[in-house]
This record gives sequence, structure tokens and C-alpha cells, in this order.
Amino acid sequence: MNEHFDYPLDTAYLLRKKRSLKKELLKKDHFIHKKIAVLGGSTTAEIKEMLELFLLNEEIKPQFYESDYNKYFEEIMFSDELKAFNPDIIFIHTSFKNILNSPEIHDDNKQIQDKLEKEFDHYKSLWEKAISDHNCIVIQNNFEYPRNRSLGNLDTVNYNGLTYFINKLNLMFSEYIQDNPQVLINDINYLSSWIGLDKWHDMSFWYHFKYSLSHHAIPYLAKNLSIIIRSVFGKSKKCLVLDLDNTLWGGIIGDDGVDQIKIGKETALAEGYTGFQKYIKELTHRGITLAIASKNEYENAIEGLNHPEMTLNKENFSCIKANWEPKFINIDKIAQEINIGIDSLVFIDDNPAERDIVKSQLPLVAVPNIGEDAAKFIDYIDRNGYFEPIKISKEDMYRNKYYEANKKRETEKAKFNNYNEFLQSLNMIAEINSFQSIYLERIAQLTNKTNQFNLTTRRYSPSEIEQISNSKSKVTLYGRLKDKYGDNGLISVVIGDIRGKDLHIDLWLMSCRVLKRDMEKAMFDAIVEESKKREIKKIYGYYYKTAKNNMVIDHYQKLGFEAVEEAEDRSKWVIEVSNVKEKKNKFIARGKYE
Amino acid sequence: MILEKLQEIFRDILDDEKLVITEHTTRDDLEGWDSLGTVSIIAAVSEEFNIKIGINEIDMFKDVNSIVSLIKKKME
Repeated sequence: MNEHFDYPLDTAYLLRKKRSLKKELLKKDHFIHKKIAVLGGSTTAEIKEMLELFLLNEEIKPQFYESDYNKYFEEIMFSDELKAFNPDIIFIHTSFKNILNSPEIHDDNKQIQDKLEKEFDHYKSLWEKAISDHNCIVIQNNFEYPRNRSLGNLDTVNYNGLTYFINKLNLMFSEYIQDNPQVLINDINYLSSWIGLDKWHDMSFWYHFKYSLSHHAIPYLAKNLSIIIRSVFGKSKKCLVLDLDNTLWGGIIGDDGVDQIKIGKETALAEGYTGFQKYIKELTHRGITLAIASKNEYENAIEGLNHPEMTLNKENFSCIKANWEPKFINIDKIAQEINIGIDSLVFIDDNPAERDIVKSQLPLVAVPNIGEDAAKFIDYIDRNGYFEPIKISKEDMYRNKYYEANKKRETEKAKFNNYNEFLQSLNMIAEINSFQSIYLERIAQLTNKTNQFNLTTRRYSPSEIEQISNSKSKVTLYGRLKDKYGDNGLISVVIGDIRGKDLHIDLWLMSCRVLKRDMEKAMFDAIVEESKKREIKKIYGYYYKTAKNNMVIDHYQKLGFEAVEEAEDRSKWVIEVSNVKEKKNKFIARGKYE
Repeated sequence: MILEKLQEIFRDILDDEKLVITEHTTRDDLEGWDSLGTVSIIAAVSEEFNIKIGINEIDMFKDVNSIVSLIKKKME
């Protein structure tokens, strides 16, 4: 990761070094390729170039389609070229300057409401058309405040005020999007406030070049977009790894003793650390996993976490490494124990030397230079958008419970003589069925974020999943698994395509939460059962190698498939349904939940 | 001094480490000095010299000589 793209942004540097930065970024490999249409209500040239840099930094290589100046509406409504381009994402870059039905001082309240409806319908029709034509994600700017208010403070109160109008319209956008997850808001109302309207607007830039924002604001806009896009493609971070001394609390517990560490409400500094902990606790509530990597005696670390003023406590951490080993070794172990990719981690440490070692040894871990001012730590996490969610699902909120239950299973495992006995003791029940409408969103989410146990790594949008679930030529299966420690939720998905008497498995994935539980065998049995029902003779499986899915390289072989084709980066497998004599899964009962 | 800094700006924006500009260089002389290039140059000049470019001054960004005299005037 290139630090120039981290908060705080040096916008002058980014704008000036654009070309050489691009050359540098293009040297990376492992890009995912995405098509992005940038449709502007004002000039977008510089925005597009800056966005390209930020996306390349995220290992997303964009191919752009750019509308002519202020042709966003015509492009979506009428353009065949846009159709041919077939975008993954349409970004609609509009600003308050694009409001067509501005409030006038002599309008009565009814007229204002009509104008709001009209304005909203303009955008709603765009989004609906874009999604029905392209089945893509739409990213829509909401509206920033104008630079000036002829009504002064009354502008936000009076229904004739533009500020009032913008506030209303922004809420109408938000409310529509709550039920339409394929549209996402690029919150420039917040972003412009953060930067400051004085810096956001540049009127001479507007009059000359028709940019709706200043050159200074463009990198911030691009960064915000890249955060959203990264999240769309499942590249948001999942786990926050924290140092303890002078990061989670003030002082050094080993030297100062537990009574002297700064936490709680006694001093401003203590409050600062408490404020930081509260923010982190909010992250855990929406499913971000926490871990500790601290150079400390383990007992001291635990004593600190048990401090009565602590907002976070021991139970909030899925993994605690407090010892004297190098931190990169501990962080690597954390990733393994929690079972997530090393690139899903963010590491927070006040010590620049520790940060540098981790950066150099584990370049995939995000390590912001948080400085040493506890009052500012939050900004480095929040402004960098590491944990940006597209939406909050029930699964996200319960994720940490799953990890907790997993820890219990791990402890339990040690008590058994062999692994089969352990599996037997879990009393596992799986619900395996074809897709149901209540699960479509979760299924789409899994296809976008599962990287390790994923045979083909195909990504699907919610509407694609819906189409597939309605298709007669597809075999679809989801799996939920529970055991005596709790529910693991919906954790496995299979999509197969029926061609004649053959079934081709386009997608087979499983959450790493349930690795080594024989769930894949239960899914296989279900595939076979479904195949027999549909008189399918042969099942074909595919493995497409990625940087992350090495763990399933011999998945089909283990299940008894035979290789049809084997190349370095892909393989094709087959099994005759009639040759499958018995069930593979011995430990999981098939049943219905609840 | 101003010309040297300006040369650095042009080298960065046009990504040409060996580029040499003089007071006689104009938009027509440099490939890449298009309208987007102009926007980038204005942005970089404002940041580098910490000056605000007014609405009637943007047209000066058509040749190096005019840019230099604009910066001189602004820095007085």
C-alpha cells in the first residue's frame, strides 16, 4: 500500500505527481478488473484520473467510460455506447448545481413539496433505468451545501431555503436507498463539511472549468469513492489488531502498574483513550473482529484489560497475543487463528518502529501512521474507511459471536482422542436447501467476500442471485450449520448450471468459520441428491486459482472426482453420479432449523 | 528561482524529468499541456507559491512568461 493514499492526504503532491504515481502503481500485479462509468453533472476529467490512482492502490484496475460534460441523464436514459460498455459500477457525479427545480422565495409549501418530488423522481428514474439496463451498482452523490446562503441562518429553517431543500432531498435519497441496496450514496454532504465548504468550493474553478468542487477536494472525493468501491468488491478490512500500552490506554502497564494506567474519566488524557475504546466498541457491534498484539507479559495485559474503567474487555478480543516475540509473527498467528486473510487486518500501534517492522514484514496489513495523540487515533481509522460496510447485515452483527463459539470449540477439541470423536460431540445439524428469497442478500454478500474456500471466486450481485434462483436450468444450494455451541449462520453456497445431462458447478464456496467440520461433504451429498432428482449423469467441478484459494486446490480430488484437465492456474473435474454409492458426510444431520 | 520551481511543477505534471522550460515556452510547445494539464498546473502553482488565482487570472496560464509575471505580482 502506498502511504500517499492514506489519510491525511497531501493533495498537492497527489495532483502534481499523478502521472509518476500511476506508473508506479501499474507495476503491481493481482489486479481485479472493473468497468466504471463516470457520469457527471459537471467536469469529471481530473476526478476520473484521481479515482484511477486510488483504485489502482487498492489493486482494482478500472476501465473507464466518461460522459460528456453534464450528460449524465442522457447517457443513462438513451446511450447505446454505455450499454455496450456494460459497466460494473455507474458513478453519478452531481452536485447542488445540478438541482433543476430550485426553491424560489415566492413558492408556497405545496410548491416546494412538488419540487422536491420532481427532483427526487429525476434521480429515481435514473437509478431504476441504470439498474434494469446494466444490473450494476450505482454510486450517487448526495448534495453538498451551497457556498452561500442568501437567507442566512434562515436558509435551513424556511422551506424556501436551499439548505432546507438540500437537507430534505438528501433524506429522500437515504430513505429510498434503505430499501434499494444496489444504489449507494457517496456522502459529499459529509465530506465537504469535513474538508470545510471554504476549501470544497472554488468558484473561479467552476466558472472556468465547470468543476463543482475545488482541485484540493478532488483527491478526497476520489478516496471516498475508492473506499465505497473497495467495499463493493469485498475488499474492506475485517479485523483490528491493537497494541496496548499508549495505544489502548495511556502509560506502560509493566512499568507503571495497573493502578497508574490512564483510562476512564479522571483526566483529559484518560478520557481520550476511553473515547478511542468507545469507537472501537462500536466497530465490534457491527461485526469487526478485534485482536491484541502487545509486547507485554501476558498476565499484565490481562490485568490491564480487567481494569474496571476499561470500555473494552477481554471478551471483546477474539485473539490476544501478549508476549515478547516480534509483532509481525504475532499478527501472522492472529490471522491464522481467526482464520482470515492477512490483508483483512488493520494494525494500530503508537510506536513508529513497531509500525515500520510490521509494514516491511507484512505489506498486506494496513498500518496507518496514527501519530501519538490519542485524541486523533480514531480519525486514522475512520477517515481511511478501512471497515466501510455496504450495508449492515444480521450476519455482520453476530459474526463476533461465531468467533467466540469457535474459541469454545477449539478448547473442546483438545479433550478428544481423535478428531472424529470431536465432530461427533458437536451434534451438528445442517439446513441445506435451494435458494430462498430471505437469504438472497446474504448469498450475494458471501459470493463477494469469500476468498479462501472459493473454487471459482465468481462474484454475483443480489439481482443476479435472484435471477439464478428463479432459473430452472440452475441447481442452487445454501447451507446453514449449527451445533451445540450455537448457530454458524448461512455459510455455504453452491450454484450449478444444468446442460443436458451434465451439471457444471459454477460456484462452490464456504465461510472459513466452519472449516474442517465436514460441511463440504454434507454439501456434496446434497448436490448428488439433487442431481439424482434431476436425472443428471455427470457432475463437473472447476477450480480457478487465485492468490487466496490455495486451500481448495484438491477439493474435488478429495471428494472422489477425476481430473479432466489440469493446468497450473485452473483444473476441471468430473464424477459420475451413479458411481457415488454412499454419503460422504457422517457427522452432520440434515434437518430443518427452528 | 520562480522559473526553477515552475520547471519542477511542469516536470511533475507532464512526468518528464528532463523537461526544460524557458520564459518563451507556450502551451503549443508542450504536448500534454492541454486543458486538464492547465487545471493541474494552476492547482500546483497555487499550492507551491501559496497564492490564490483569481477568476480573471486563469487566462494567464497559456505561456510560461505570463505565469511567471503573475506569480511575481501575487508574491509582492
